[in-house]
Parts: sequence; structure tokens; C-alpha cells
Amino acid sequence: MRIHSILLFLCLLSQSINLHAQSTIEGRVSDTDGLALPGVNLYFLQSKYGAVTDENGYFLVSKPIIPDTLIFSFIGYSDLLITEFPEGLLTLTLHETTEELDEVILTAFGISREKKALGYAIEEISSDELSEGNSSNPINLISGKVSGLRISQTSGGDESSTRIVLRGNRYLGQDNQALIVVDGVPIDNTTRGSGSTWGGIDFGSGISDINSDDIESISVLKGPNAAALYGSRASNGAIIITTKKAKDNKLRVRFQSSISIEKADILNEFQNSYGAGSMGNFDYKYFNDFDTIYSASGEAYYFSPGDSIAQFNTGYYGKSWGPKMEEQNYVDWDGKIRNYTAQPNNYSNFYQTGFRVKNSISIDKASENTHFRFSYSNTKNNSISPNSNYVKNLLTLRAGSHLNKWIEIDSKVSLSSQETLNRLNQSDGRGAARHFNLMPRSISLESLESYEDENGQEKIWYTPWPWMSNPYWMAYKNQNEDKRNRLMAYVSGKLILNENLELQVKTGVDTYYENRYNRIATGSFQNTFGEYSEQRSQFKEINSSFLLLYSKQLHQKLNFSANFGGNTMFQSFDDIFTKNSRLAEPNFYNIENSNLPIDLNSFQSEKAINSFYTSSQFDYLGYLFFDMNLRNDWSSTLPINNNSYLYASYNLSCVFSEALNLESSKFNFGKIRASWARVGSDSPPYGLQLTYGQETPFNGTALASVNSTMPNPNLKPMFTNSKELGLDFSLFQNKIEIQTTYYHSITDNQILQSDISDASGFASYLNNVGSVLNKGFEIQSNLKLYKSPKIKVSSLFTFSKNKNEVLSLSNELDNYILASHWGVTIEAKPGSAYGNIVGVSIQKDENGNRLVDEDGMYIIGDRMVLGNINPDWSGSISPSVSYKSWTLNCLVDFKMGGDLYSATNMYGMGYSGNYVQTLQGREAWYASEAEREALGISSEDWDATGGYLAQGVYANGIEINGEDVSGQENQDYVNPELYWGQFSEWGNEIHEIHVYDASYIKFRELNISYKFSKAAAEKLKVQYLEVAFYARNLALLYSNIPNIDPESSYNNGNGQGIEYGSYPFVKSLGLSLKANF
Amino acid sequence: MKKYLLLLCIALIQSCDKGFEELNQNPNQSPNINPEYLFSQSLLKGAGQFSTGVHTEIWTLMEWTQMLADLNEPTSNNNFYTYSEDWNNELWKEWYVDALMPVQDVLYQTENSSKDVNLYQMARIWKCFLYHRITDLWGNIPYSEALSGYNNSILTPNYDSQESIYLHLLEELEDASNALDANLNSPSQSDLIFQGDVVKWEQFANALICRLALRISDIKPIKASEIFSSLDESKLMKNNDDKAEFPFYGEYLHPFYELDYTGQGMRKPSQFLIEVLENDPRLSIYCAPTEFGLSFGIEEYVGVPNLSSMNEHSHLNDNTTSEVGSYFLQSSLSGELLSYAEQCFILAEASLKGLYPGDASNFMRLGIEAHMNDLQVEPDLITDYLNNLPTVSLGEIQKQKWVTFLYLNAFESFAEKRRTGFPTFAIENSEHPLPKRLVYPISEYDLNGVNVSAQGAINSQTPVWWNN
Repeated sequence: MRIHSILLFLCLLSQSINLHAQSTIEGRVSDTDGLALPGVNLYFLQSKYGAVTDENGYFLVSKPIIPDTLIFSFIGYSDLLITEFPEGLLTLTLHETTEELDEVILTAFGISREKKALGYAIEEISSDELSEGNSSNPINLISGKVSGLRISQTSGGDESSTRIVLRGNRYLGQDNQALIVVDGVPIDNTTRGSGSTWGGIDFGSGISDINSDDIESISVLKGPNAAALYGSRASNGAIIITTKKAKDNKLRVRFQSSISIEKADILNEFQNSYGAGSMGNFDYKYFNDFDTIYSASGEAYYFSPGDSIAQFNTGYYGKSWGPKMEEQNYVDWDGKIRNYTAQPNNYSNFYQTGFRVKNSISIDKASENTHFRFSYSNTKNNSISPNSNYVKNLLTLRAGSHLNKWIEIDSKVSLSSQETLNRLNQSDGRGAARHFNLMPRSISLESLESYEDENGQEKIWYTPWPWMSNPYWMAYKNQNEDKRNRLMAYVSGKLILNENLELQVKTGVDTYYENRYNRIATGSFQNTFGEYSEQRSQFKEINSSFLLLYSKQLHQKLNFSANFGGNTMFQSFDDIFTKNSRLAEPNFYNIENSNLPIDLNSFQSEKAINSFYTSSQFDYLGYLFFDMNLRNDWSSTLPINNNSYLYASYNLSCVFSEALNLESSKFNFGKIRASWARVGSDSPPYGLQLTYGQETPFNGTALASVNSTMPNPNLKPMFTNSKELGLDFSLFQNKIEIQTTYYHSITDNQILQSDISDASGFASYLNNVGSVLNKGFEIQSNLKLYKSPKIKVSSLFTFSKNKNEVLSLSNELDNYILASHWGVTIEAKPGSAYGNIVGVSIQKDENGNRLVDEDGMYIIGDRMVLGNINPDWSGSISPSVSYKSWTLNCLVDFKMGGDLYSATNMYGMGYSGNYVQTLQGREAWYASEAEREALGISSEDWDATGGYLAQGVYANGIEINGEDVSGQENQDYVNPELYWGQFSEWGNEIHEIHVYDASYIKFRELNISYKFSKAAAEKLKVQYLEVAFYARNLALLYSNIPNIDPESSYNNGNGQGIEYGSYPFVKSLGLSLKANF
Repeated sequence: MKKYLLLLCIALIQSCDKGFEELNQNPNQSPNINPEYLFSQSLLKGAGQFSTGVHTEIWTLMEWTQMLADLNEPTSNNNFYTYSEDWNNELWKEWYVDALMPVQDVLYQTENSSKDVNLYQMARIWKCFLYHRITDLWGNIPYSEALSGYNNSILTPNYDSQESIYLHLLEELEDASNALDANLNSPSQSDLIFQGDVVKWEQFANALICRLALRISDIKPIKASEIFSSLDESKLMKNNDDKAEFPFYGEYLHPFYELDYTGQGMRKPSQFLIEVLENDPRLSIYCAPTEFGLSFGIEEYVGVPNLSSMNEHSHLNDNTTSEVGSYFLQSSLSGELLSYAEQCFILAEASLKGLYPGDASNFMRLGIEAHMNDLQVEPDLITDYLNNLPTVSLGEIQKQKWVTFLYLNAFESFAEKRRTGFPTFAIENSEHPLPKRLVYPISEYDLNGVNVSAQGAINSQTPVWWNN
């Protein structure tokens, strides 16, 4: 107590002295080459204030009253500490270091650690290394910058959800995505609503509610080793986002603005030779009365009895298997006479140029005791799809104060609001991508544009049943809309008990309300009465924690620190869905405006986890480090006698270059690290007891079903055991920095809702089954290739290889289906990698030749593994060149191996014949048919003279003209329509042909920026000015899949490897401006 | 001090899961339920299929029994009688999980209840009806150990022979129908079929006994004869009013109507259907004249041939072939379970075989008359038709039976075609014979492998027991 009183007295004294002896320290900071270092932080350790160097490396800061240490820190450079402050201009030099040696990195609970002390792989990307603001989703900022991290976005444009997976898929039945933590508070990133086999809308993921301009740094904790202290949910690794806070006592106003245009990158190679029809023919309209038909321009055509004219058959599933398009007159789908001609641009012209504008402003200032920061950003986007847009507003307020020497408080409030109109329909939904994939090539965009007839009914070319919609009707009449309002906030306090002991307490909340509205207009083909639905959901998570930190030098050579803490987590989700399936008053969208009973479904879910944890760190002479963490969780979702689980991690790090005195000019740094961790995890709620669900009543009679998932009152927690070993080193004055990691993790006792024999009365069973192995190798290297005062060339390089194997399931289950799409399943089977693509094959002989029958068609083989979704390896190269004030950054990323079943190609070739691949043999087949008909020979007695020749040999026992041809090369031409049809015939299709290798190389990003000199900036009355040009998704450099992007996927669930109805990926080009005032 | 800290820690840890049990109570589903709600659910799910895209009865069995044919399929001659794995899995699941499990739960809940006697017996009869449909499609199936996943922890139920299942079903039906008691409380609202009418349940049970007895009349003639000879005629259906049908309504419309509304489009009346109904007043009820013919003012009925690939019927299109008649495309269509007409045809065959006293030809006439009346055919057309009937024979009876099953009961039609070989289809293909069963779903091989494999090598030509 006495010490504190004295300190307080000194403090007061210092303030009074301050009035008399105001003096300053001035100086300039440069690197070893004498180049000015702008943006270096300087900070007084005791007095807790500081400044930042300007454009030319100069700084000015008031002199402290008490003896103090001034720390200069800058990323990539060693910290410089000075305690003497002579008069006059100080010239200071910072030495560039390896990141490893001295970099301080933020780990769990916001505890800063020296990177060299860590026994596990962690990657930190600071704000200036983040990709420029060319995506509205902050996670895209680190795409391609971290080895072992795979970020993939579903096919729904800028606002669609992302899948964030670190080091492969672990869980069979639960989410494999990394935990997102912002300023120590976990943030919900669940995708609530996404595409499935039959359609659906992707409602994006929660991470897009974070303002990317607020981000100071992003740390990626790759494995469970690093994340043991965040609890179960971090067993998939964690993305730790730290946001900016005010640092110095200067009022700063930062303004950022970016404008980008977006274009659809259309990969579909459509054929433009054959139009609507089937078997090479049109249908004909016959006249028995005098009749008049008009052309689209109003010109009249008169017909007499007995006349006929070719006409569009609205009965076909969109098919371009008609005759050759040669400007014939025909009656088009809308009853108007048009020329039968190709419409090469009908798909590309449907999309428009998208446009995105983002403006953000931040104001911050810190003083000796307080810091304050305010930021606001506004994003508006008009998507490439007609009448589809979003508006996003994000507001953050952060403030904190040292109330006195012992108490510090910090707080943040973020509010976000997003409103989106017309998100894209995925997969088999009524989306434009699927529509144009099936629509005959002869249908013009103009004919679709008048989407409504005089009676207010939707006009559509396909009428047998309402599975198709006019894309313009979908855009302008059947609109979906959603709004999300979110609050993310925390308040934390720190109590300094004595020089060794500190207590932190923190409460964080993440809550959002989401409203979704779906309108189906009166007159829609899918429901002529119209429909309307509303969904309202609320998510809430509250975490409250305390942490007691203790540190002490035990011995001259040994430092020790330890902490003990606890956390309570409560999570709830509430959802109400109401639907009006028939609008009484047309086009009035209100739930009660109905003459049918209103559907109403409500859903609630709650869960809590309480935890205690402790960790201790030992530091021996600054080169040998050992950490130990222990955590115990109690989860509400597990049986009461089995709901507690303990887990641990141990990490060891040795800077052997220092320990063994190996450092030289060629070998600068070397560290080995080893880590072992075990992380426990629980189940989703409500799996322990048999329950009954109530269904929509039947004519006033209540209906109830037995929950088809059999409960399990004996569930146990599941565990991931993980080991990792790493070697980090840097060579040649740190010009080459390399981090390598080998890891091995097994997740077993998995809680899985697995299928059981339906004859048991239940479809599935919640049980502890299964074990999945992931092992792999990662390299991350930073090469500083060339450096002169004017020019710097460097490159980041990442490489990851993950090998995955499902080790076991249960006795009853030897195969677990992760996802399925029309007969193709994505499976986990013991002995193979997670994610086999299983489907119907073509029968083959012992040499692997495909077998055909006597007609030259493939023989259907067994269901078997046709591919696997896991890539062999992936990586990225991001070179950077700077010349004076110019900087150029690129990112090229690649994935090799990993397969994809493309239902877009299956339908676009088989059903619709829309792609160039289907042209092969068409002309020859029709010529052969014409010849046959001219000769009056029946199909059975005719040997086709041309057509599609399936690659393969005749099966055993096949005779042609009495001769056994088994094993001989196929000679039988078939109608290409039937050839492609064997891969798309509903229920009987062969899937093998449409499983593709999904490797790719993509030119992902390009960024060219120019920083104005201080003088030039000052002329414009700003302190700092930077302009940049950026581009994203520039080019697909390598791909083995026709017509679609190899990254296509309609949701971000565990069953990747299937695509249907994929939209073109969006290419964006933009300009940005950053100015500080 | 340390002691207190330790005690505090222990206290904290012990309170760590306080309130967790309450928190983990499912707010969305109830742990208890009125068994009547389950009974209604079972009746609904057993009477029609509702899964998206899966309509084995309509899309598969109606083609196999040549009621319907597809203009756009198959693409190749290899694809006759193919049947999607997914649908097979789904149909199996719908019956066991969606239809049988709720009725089994009714039995668990009402077994010892004195006030629910009739509900219990009705549930027993309904369970027999469902199992008979399942075993007719797949032969040996899980029966005695089935539906016991939760109650007896049987995750991989054993398969019972079809013979033992049939004998048990016959016993159960007799037992249950005798135990029904018109003096006791009856579930009037939840019984969506007969509104709690105990007499009608008794008739349904007995008509079902007749159906099952006839099904085994070739393989177990003595048993069949015993059953028919002990039949109490007063307990059988008397007329069309007694037929068992499910009154689809509102959000749960007849799957046949639903399919047409949402996508049955490409299925057309078959060429065979039009041949059978030539000179039959029912033709214009089952089919609509072609649009192509109508444009010339001609009322013409054209069907699509079965067992013909798309290549072979490429001269036909939507306009030149008939649609399903509008009578069957109305939302008030009911689901047929067992009709009075069918009962007449069953008795006709039983008499023809000497199993049941009476005049086979008279039973056949009664059946045709009842069916035509049900379709509201004009009385003089009925008389005309009945006056020109050929002599009664198994073939004639089966042809008439096939007509009564059109669009409404492909399960029975498929079973009867397999049992008797009638009606003789105009196009039969010896290279691609009609399947004699459904093969077991892949899901059973995956999840109940030992028991399903014990049934031996099964393919679509392996007959079920009664068809041996």
C-alpha cells in the first residue's frame, strides 16, 4: 500500500512539475541503410504515452517527468529502448530482424508473447500486410497468406458465405470451420441458410459484420495446440482478429474510400449451332382454320388450313437438341414468329456491371490515461445480377481508461446493419445460372425481358411443370430480402494487484437479429396465387471470464508466469418462420393476407459451457521455453454424469541458434518447437431424450411423429489429440525466412448422428463413433530477394499438404454420408480420405477399358469411388515489388488435386445440349439419319454412318452380324443426344463422366499503390495520402473443368465436392484512396 | 487461506453444471404425446408418399405395371425396369420410420390401457396393412425384431421369412378384428379413414385377410382354403361405402394429384391402357383425347408404348399423346387402400378356385359394377358393358382388377401381376423381364449387413416366397 501511495504522490507531483518544465524530445528514425522509417511507434513504458514517426521518420514527443524508458517498435525490426534523452535531434537506427526473434504476437486471451517462445505454429498478419479492401468479407484479406488455411467462398458473389478450414477436415458430423475471435470475444460465424440439392439461398456468414478497416492484425492459430485455451470450439483452430485502438495523443482522422466495378467471369462455353427441339427436330404447328400469327415486331403471318410451321415445344425440358439454327421462321415459345437463330450472348448479357462503393472514416486520440476511437463505414453494392444489391453500415466505438495506477478499463461497441435484396438462388433453385444452363440456345434475352403477360402472369418458355422461372420475373417480382442487425461488445477491466499479480475480468456479447422476407408474386408460374414468408431469428452469446496472471523471476536464469481463469458461455438461438402459401389480395405481402391456414414453425435452442483453465510458462535464458495449459469444461449438452472433460496442451520451443551460439551472417536464427495437445468437445443440444415432433395438422387433426433420430442418454465428450513439430530458421541476413511444420492429429470418439437401419424404427442415431486422422506438412517462407534504397523485391510463399484418413466408424456403420446430390454421395469411409465422391461408374474390362453394348452405349457399372475432394497440395505465391513510392503486390494461389462432381455439366450437356462439347458427332448423326430415312430403313436394321463414338470396347458376348466382337474397339455411332443422356437420365445416370479434377491456378489479386510524399500530401492539406488500384479474381490460369469455376460449390458444409447451378465468379477492379488528417 | 481457496474452488466446480439438465430440455419437441396424434400420422404416411422427388408407386411401379409410360425415357434399351437406389432407400425408410414407428409407439402406449382398446386394435390392423405392403415388395424383411431400436436397443434387426410374417399377419388381423368392441370408446377424430367406425375396421381387417389368403393360395392352398371356409360373410364389406380409402385434403393432397401439379407431366397413359380400355366406358375417364387430334376435331386416344426406348417412340410427342384424364387430376382424389370392387374380384377368384362358395362370374360382375358406379359411369353404359362380358376366367378377373388399380394402387397391381401373370401386357420383353421384387436397399447392406446378407444373393428376378 505504501508503494502505491508514493507512486500516487509522484504522479501528482509530476503533473505539477509538468506545468513548469515542459520540454520535448525530437528525433529521426531510420533503418540500417539510412532510409527513413515512417510509422514507427514510440512509447513510454511507465508514463504510458507515445507518438508515431511521420513520413520522413521524424518524431516529436514531450519529455516524461519521471525516469522512463522510451520504446521504439516497428514490425520487422528489433525494438529499441532508450532511457537517456539528450537535447537536440536524436538519430536512431532500428535493426531489421527476423520476425521470429523479437516479434511480439497476440495469443489466447490477448496475452502478448514473443513469437520465439511459442511451441506451435501461429501466423500473424498485420494491417499493412492485409490485402487491400477489395472484398467486403474480412477473411478474404488473409486468403493465400497463411499455409494450411483454406478459404473458399460459395458461388453467390461478394456477400456469400465462406468456408474457413485449417489443416483439413476433422469432424464427420460437426462443423470443421475455425473459430473467429475478435478482441478476445468469440464471434458467431454460422451460416444460417445455404444452398442444398434442391436449391436455397446462401445468407452469408457473420464475419462480414466486421469492418475490415478496423483490423489491426489477424493471427491464425492453426491447430488445437495453439487453441487449447479457447476451448472446444477452437479445436478447428482459431482466427484471432485484433482491432485498432488509439495509440498516441494526436487527434487522427483517417478516411478510406474505394470504388470497384464487378464483372461476371463467364466460363460457360455454349454451343451456338443447334437450338430448341429434340432428336434433331422441331415440332410443327398444323392449321385447320385460317389463322394469323405475329412476329415480335408486330408483322402478321397468315396461314391457311393444311399449312404448318415449325414451333417451339414448351413440353421439353429445356433442350438444344433441335435442328441447326439457320434463321428458319418458327413460332417461338411466346407464340410469336421469330427467326431460329443462335443467341450467343444471352447469358453474358443477362448480367450487368456490378458496382461497389465503400467509405469509411475513423477518428482516434489517446491521452496519458485514456484512449478513444470511433469508426464508421458504409458499403453499397449493386450486384452483377439485375435488381440485386446490399447496403452495409458498420459503426464501432472503442474507449478505455487507466482509472488509476491499479485499474484499467477497456470497452468496445460495434453495431452493424446489413440489408440485402435478392440474394442468388443456389443449386436447383430458380436461379439464373441454372436457368441459362437449361434454356435452349435459340431463346433470346429480348423475349424473356417481357416477363409478364397482360393478365399479370409470368411468361416462361417451359410449361409442363413449374420447376423453371423466368429470371427477370425472379429479379423484379419474386424478391427475397434480408436484414441483419448485430451488436458485438465487450467491457473489460484490469486490476493490478501487485507487481507480480494482475486480475482481468471481461464480459463480451455477440447478438444479432435477422429478418428474412421471401415474396412470390401473384401470377408466378410456381404458385399462381403468390406466397409470402417471413423468418425472424435471434442469436445471442455471452461470455464472461476472469483471468489471474502471475509472473515472477524464479531464478536469474528462469522466468515464470502463470495464469488461472474461468469462463462461462451461454448461447441461445430463437427462430420463427411463418408462411402464407396463398395471397388473398394479389401482391400484397402480409402474412395474414391469406385464405389458407398460415404455416408457423418455431425453433429454440440453448446451450451453456462453463470452464476453468490454467496455464504456466517457463522461460530459461530467453532461448528455451516451456508452456503447459489445462482446461476443464462442463457442457450442458452432455449427460450430467459425463459432462465434464479435462484437456491439456504442452509446448516446447528452443531457439537453438542462440543456445548453441550458431548465429552467423549466413545463419541468423534457428528454432525447433514441439507441441502436444488434447482438446475435448461436446455435442449439439437435446440429443439425450426421446421426443415427439408435431407436424402441420391434417384437416384439424393433430399429427405427431417420433423423432427419427434415436437419442443417446450415454453420450461422451469427443477428443482431438494433436502433435506438431516445427523448424523455423532464417538465413543470409534474414533474407530467407522459413517456417516449417509437421502435424498429426486424430479426432476420435466423434459424436455423430449416424444412419442406422431404418428397420430399427429410427433413421439415425446419436453416438460416439469414428476417428479421423489429419497429418500434413506446411511451409511458409518469406524471401527478401532484393533491396536497395529505392527498390525492394520480396515474396511470400506458402505450401500445404494435408493427408486425411478416416480411421474408423462404428460396428454398424462402415460408411458415413457427408452430403448427397442426386445419386452422387460424398462419403467418409474407413481406410480412405474424408470425402470420397461415390457414384455410378461405367463398366470396365480387366484392362480398365470402358465397355459398350451392341448399340455403342456404355454399360452401367457399379456404384464406386469416382474421386475424392481432398487436394493433394495447395499453396500460394505473393510477390511484392516496390519502387520509390510505388508498390505492386500480386497473389497467385493454386490447388492441385481434389475432385468435383459437376451437375451443371451433367445437365448442360445431357439434358440441354447447350455446351460445345455436345457438338461432336451431331451433324454426322443427323446426316446419317437423313440417309436412313431416304432409304426407308428402320433404325434396327441401319448402321449409322456418323454420330458420337463412345470411347470403349465391346463387352463380353456381344455379337455384331454374327461375329463375336467382345474386346474390340467400339464402332457403333450413337445419337449424341442419347450419348450425353446416359449421364443425365434421372435415376439411371452414369456419374463417372462428370467427376472432374478440380485443380486450379488463379491470379487472385493485384494491387498497385502509390504513396504521396509528405510534401505533396501537405499541399493537399492531408498528412498521409495513398491511392491504389486493385483487382480480384483476375484470371483462372489453369483448370481441368469445362464451363464452370473449379472452386464452385453451393454451400460451405462438410460435403464439398458437388456443384450445381454455379454462378460465374465475380471479377472486380477498383480504386482506393486513403487519407489521414 | 489456502484451505479456503481450495474449498472455494471445489464449490465453484461443483456448481459448474447447475441448471444444465433443465437447459438441455428440448423446447421444440415434447417428451410425451397423445397416441392418437401418432395414429393419425401413421395413417397419413402409410397411405401416400410425400417425399420430394421420390414416388416409387407412381413413377416406377405404374410404369412397371404398364399403367403409365414416359415420353422422354429411357434413353437406351438397357434402362428398362431400372429403379433408383435413392428411391429404394427412401421408400423403405418412409415405411419403417415415418409410417410404422408412430403406429408402433401407439401400440407401446395403449397396450395395457383399458380406455384405448379400440385404438390399440385399429393400430394393430393398420400395422398389418403396412407390413403386408412392405413384405410384398421385398419378401423377407425385419419384422419380429423391427422397430425396437430405442425400446430394446436392437439396431440391426433380424429378417423374418415372408411365410412366417404372412402367417403372423393373418393371426393378428383375426385377433384384432375380434377384439374390436363397438361398445367402447373409439378414436373418432384421429381415425382419418373410418372416423372411429369399429364395424368398418372389422370389414377392412377381414377384406385384408381375404387379400392375404388369396395371395398365398398357390403356395399354401390348405391354409387359404381354411381361411376362406371360415370366413364370416357378415364381416365383409357390403358396398362402395365400406371401402377403405384415405381422404387426402388441404396441404396433404393425393400424391398423384400433387405430382401432376408439380411435375408428373412427362408420364402419359400407356399404349396398353388404351388397348385394354377399348370399348370400355371408362377409357375417357382414365385418358384425355390428344390435343393434336382435337385440333382436327377428332377425339383420339393415343398412349405411349412401354418397353420402348426414346429412340423408338421419337415420333410421339406431348401433343400427339393422351394425358391422364381430369377425374384423376382433381385435388379431392382419395387414396385407395382396399376397395369393395377389389374384394369382389378376390372372392371371384376364390370361387373360381373352389376356395369360397359362390358364383365367380357374379362376383366379377359385382366388382365391375361397383367400380363403374364409383367412377359415376352412366347406368346404361354399365348395363351395356356387363351384358357383353366374356366368360369368367382368371385372366378376365385380373384384367378387371388391374383396371380398378389404375393410378391408385400400383402396389397391389404389381403384386397381382407377379402372382398370376395377368394381365398379359401387349409388349412383354423376354430379354428384360418384369422384376419379381424390389432388391433390398443399399442402406440395409450398409447398416444391417449381416442380417440382409443372410437372405442370400438377391436380384430383381428372385421371387418372393408366395411367388415361388
